[in-house]
Formats: sequence, C-alpha cells, structure tokens
Amino acid sequence: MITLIIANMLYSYIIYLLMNGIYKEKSSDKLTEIISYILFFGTITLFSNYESGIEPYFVLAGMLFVVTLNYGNNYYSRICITILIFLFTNMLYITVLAICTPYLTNSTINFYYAIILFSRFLMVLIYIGFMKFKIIIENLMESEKHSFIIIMTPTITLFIIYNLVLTMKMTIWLIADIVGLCIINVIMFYMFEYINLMNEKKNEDELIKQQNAYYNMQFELMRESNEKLRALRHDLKNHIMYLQSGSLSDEHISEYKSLLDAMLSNNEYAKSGNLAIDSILNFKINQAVEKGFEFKLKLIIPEQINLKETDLVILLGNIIDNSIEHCAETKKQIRMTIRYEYGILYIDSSNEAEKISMIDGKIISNKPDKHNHGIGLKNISKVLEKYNGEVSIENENNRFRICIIIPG
Amino acid sequence: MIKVAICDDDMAICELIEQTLENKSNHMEVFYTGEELIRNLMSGKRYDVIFLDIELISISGVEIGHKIRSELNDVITQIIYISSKENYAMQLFKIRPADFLVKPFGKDEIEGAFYNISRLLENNTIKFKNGYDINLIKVNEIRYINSEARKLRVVTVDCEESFYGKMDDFIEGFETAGLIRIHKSCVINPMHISRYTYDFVIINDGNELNISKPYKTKVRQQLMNLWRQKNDNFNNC
Repeated sequence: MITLIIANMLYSYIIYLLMNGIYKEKSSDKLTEIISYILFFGTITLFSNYESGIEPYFVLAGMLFVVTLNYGNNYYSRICITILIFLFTNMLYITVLAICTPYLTNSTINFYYAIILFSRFLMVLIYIGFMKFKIIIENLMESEKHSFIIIMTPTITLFIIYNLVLTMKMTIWLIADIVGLCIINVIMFYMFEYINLMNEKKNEDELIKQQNAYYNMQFELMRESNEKLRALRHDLKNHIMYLQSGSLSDEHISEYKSLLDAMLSNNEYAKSGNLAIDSILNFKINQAVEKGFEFKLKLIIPEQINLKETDLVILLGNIIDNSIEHCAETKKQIRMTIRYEYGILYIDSSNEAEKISMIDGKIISNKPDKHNHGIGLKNISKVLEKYNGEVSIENENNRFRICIIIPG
Repeated sequence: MIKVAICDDDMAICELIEQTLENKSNHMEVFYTGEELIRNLMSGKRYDVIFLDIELISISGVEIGHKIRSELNDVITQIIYISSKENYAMQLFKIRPADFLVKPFGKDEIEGAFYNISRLLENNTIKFKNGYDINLIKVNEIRYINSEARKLRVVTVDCEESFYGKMDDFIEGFETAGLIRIHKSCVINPMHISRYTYDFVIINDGNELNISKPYKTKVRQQLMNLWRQKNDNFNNC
C-alpha cells in the first residue's frame, strides 16, 4: 500500500512539473491548482487496481484532463496534452509490466504496486523528453493536422506493445522489440522537432533577407539625400546672391523656394533616426506610393527600441501590405501612427476599406489570393504573443483600422 | 480655464498657436526665449500646457522639460514639443511629453493636440469622506490609490492621505474618472505611469506596482483604448 501512495505522489508531482513546463500561462490561482492536484492524487489512489478492469485507465485520463483545466485557454490543446501524457504513462507501465512478468510467478497486488512505482519513477524520463521537444508542444496547440500525427504514432505503438505482451511469450527478443518500438517513437519526435526547427529557420532567413533589402534601400536614400545636400551647399553662395539681388518679385521668390524644396526632397518619408523602423517604412511607403497611394505618417519614436528587427518587419510589413490590398479604390489613402510612450510601442493604421461582400453571413474577400488571406494577421498575433502585446481591429463604416500595443 | 504657455523663438509659430487657441483659452503667455520661460517657472508660475520648441537658441527644450519634471518636481504640466526634426532621443521620452508638433504644421494639428490634453485636464475631482469632512481630490493629481485594511491610501503628486472606505465601493467612481485597476486593492492614474510592462508599472514617483494576473489583459486593453482615443482625430478621417 505504501508503495502505491509513494508512486502516486511521485506521479502527481511529475505531472505538476510537466504541466508547468508545457504551459506558460496559468488560468487559475495557486489554491485551485493545489486542490486539483490533491484531488488528482486521491482519485488515482482510489482507483488503482489496474488488474480489475479498464476503469482505472478512464479515471486516470479523466483526472489528467481535470488537471489541465488549470492551464492554458484552449480545449483542443488540453485534450491533446491529456492524451499524450496518458499514452506515455501507460506505455511505460505496460512495458515494465511485460518485462517483469516472467520473473515473478505469483502476481500479488504488491507486485503490481511495485511495478507502478517503478514505471512512475521512469516518468521522469518522459518529463525530460517533453521539455526537449518544446516546438512540438507549441505547435500542438496550433495546427490540428500536426497534432493528429503526433498523437497517432504513440497510440499505435501502445496498441502494438499491448498486443505483443498479451499474445506472445515473454522472451528477451520480445523485450528488445518493445524497447525498439519505444526508440522509434523517440526518433519520430526528434524528426518532427527537426523539421519544425528547419521551417522556423527558413522563415527567419526569409525575413532577414527582406530586412536586408530594406536596409539597402534606406542606405541608398540616405546617400542620395546627402549628395543633394552637398550639391546645394556648393551652390549656396550663388543662391543667396541671386536672392539678394533685390530685383525679384514675390511670385519669383516663391517659385524659387519651391525649386529649392524640390532639390532637397526625396523618397525618404520616415526620418525618425530609428534605422530598423525607418528602413521598413520607407521601403513599404515607396511601394504604396508607386501604386498611387497617399501615405500620411506620424512617427514619434526614439532612436532605439527593444524589438527584434525581424519582428518589426512582420508587424509593419503585414499591416501596410494588408492596407494596400484592401484599400478602397475611391480613396487610396493610408494613415499610420507609430508612437512610443512610457515603454509601450503603439502602432495605429487605418484606411478606407474595400466593399466587403457577404454571402450566407460569411465574409467573401475580393482578394484574388484567397489562400494567403488572414495569414498576415496570424503572423502579427504570433509576434504580439511573444511580447505580450495586443491587437484590436475595427471595421466600421467602410473604414478599416488596426491598433497594436506592445509593452516594452 | 486652461493656462497656456508658448515658447518658441519663431514668432510666426507663436502667433499661429495663439490665434488657433484664442477662443479656447483666455490665459496665454508667449515667450521667445527659454530663459524667460524658466524665470517665470522658477518664480512659481504654473501652466497647464506648454508648447515648447525643442531647438531653442541658447537652451534646448529638452533641458527645460527636464527642469520642469525633476527640478521643479512638476509632473502635471503637459508639454507639447515643437520641432522641425523627426528624430528624438530617448532622453526626450523620459519627460513624458503629451504630444509633438512637427514643423510645418497647421491649425488642425494644434487643435488636435490641444483637444486631447484639454480632455485630460477638464476632468473632475473625487470625493472622499473623513468623518464629517469632505475632501475633494483632483483626479489628475492622483498618482495611485491603495486600499489597506479598511482605509484607502490616496497618493497624490504632493502628499499622501488616508480615508475610510473600501475599494469595491469606490471602484465605479474611480473607473469613470479614468483610473485603471491593476490589483484587487490598487488603482493607478495612467497619466502618471513612467514605464509599463505586462507584469508591472512604474509610477513617476519611482514606485513599482505589480499588476495582478486577473487584471493584466484588462489593463493592457484600457491603455490601448486610451491611446486609440488620442489618435482618433488623426486616424479617423
């Protein structure tokens, strides 16, 4: 009996570690969390006669799910995590049981308890494993197709192990098979992790490439404006002499002034001195202007802010691209404010939205590339999640407005 | 009535601001040098809003702003900076300027900036009772309010006072006055935040206050709304 209690305490603690490792956000307070674990411990201790039938398994799965209610905010991810932990717990238990059966002929209840204790002890390995595959766990909460595959593999493995144990005689070969199956599972997880990592890296490279293009253009703009300034300075004496000659009418002077203005003006719209933001904005605004847009920009930011450049590319790039694509043909104007205040970066962008057609209550986009629709917003939310930021979108009276707040 | 000071060495700009706000404020003072403005401030004069040029001849607007905030310990005066450049040093943001006007600007911009501030300033007072005494405290002077035991500790710009009362009884009034609840027993004035992160805020007297879990997203949302309102006249036309 004491072994069982120790086993379950250990198990509860490992589940606690697992949950806190997997989820960053808790959705309930400390007290509720502790109570739920005590409940978890009590219930699985009560229903622990695994030889009596299938109920203890259901109870375990149910209780795991109850514990996950303390964390996260999405039922889908909770169910996935429950299933995964449940599968691995039992995979271990059955494997250990299978390996031990031939060595003990009189299977007393204490014998089962000892096996439970041992297999719970091995859960530490599972804990380490879960922590290693961070990206898989993160993706589990997002894409459904992905998580289905991840869950299917251990499920099938569990069935195979179970059947092997039931139908075959326990030999050293069978044990080797079972261990082999487990290793295949681990390898599969490694592969998934690797693919995900590669994907992420590819995306990051793509963004850096974009950022480099922006920087190149910014450099070009700065060089151009420098040259213009130098040319003007060179001729400054002549200009002043001409203006001082006194024989000019007012009309002449204003004409001359606009001529000088034209000499100095270029395509540099953002001049905040913040290289990352300036270069992205200038690139994107020039793109918009080429397409016939009017761009009103209000930029009040310091020269340095704590945001990764690639994240800025995602945020600003997607917002402006969205505006360009969805702007109404009648008034091609984008208004954007970027502002910094007490550690927060605010981005506010608005434009006249194109007419949105509704069919059966669903929004039908006029955009030709329907597949990419909404991906921009998804990427924005992903970046915001990283910085604990928030986005609000307003689409009223044919006006589209997106606001973003990023705490520093 | 809102007291306005305008400080710019460019007479045309001073005149433009004066003309624009003519019927919105009957107390306007114009200074053509920074020294003049500082002299006035040092002698104890205060304004609600100062339009301040960054590139003044002998002393920079940033220095003046710094003097106002740290030497004179004045966190209430709203500063609107006027500048011809668009790049600002981090130093400038520590002064907590209310807004920026970039030359060349017109009446619309001045009105927009002024409107946002007057909305902040016009708001009222909160009534507290201490026995039979009734205390009125100006909202924009409140830094934060803490509830301790059965008392509410009101920390204002220049003093601290305690009143009997419970947070839950007052919260409605606090929230309509624009204060933001960050904790079961604490509300802050967003006007006096000097730094905000998702987990805590630092008030401009240096106090760091934690935002408790249930309020984190709500606080963020309220700050977002505040700021959106500020941008309404630029982004909604």
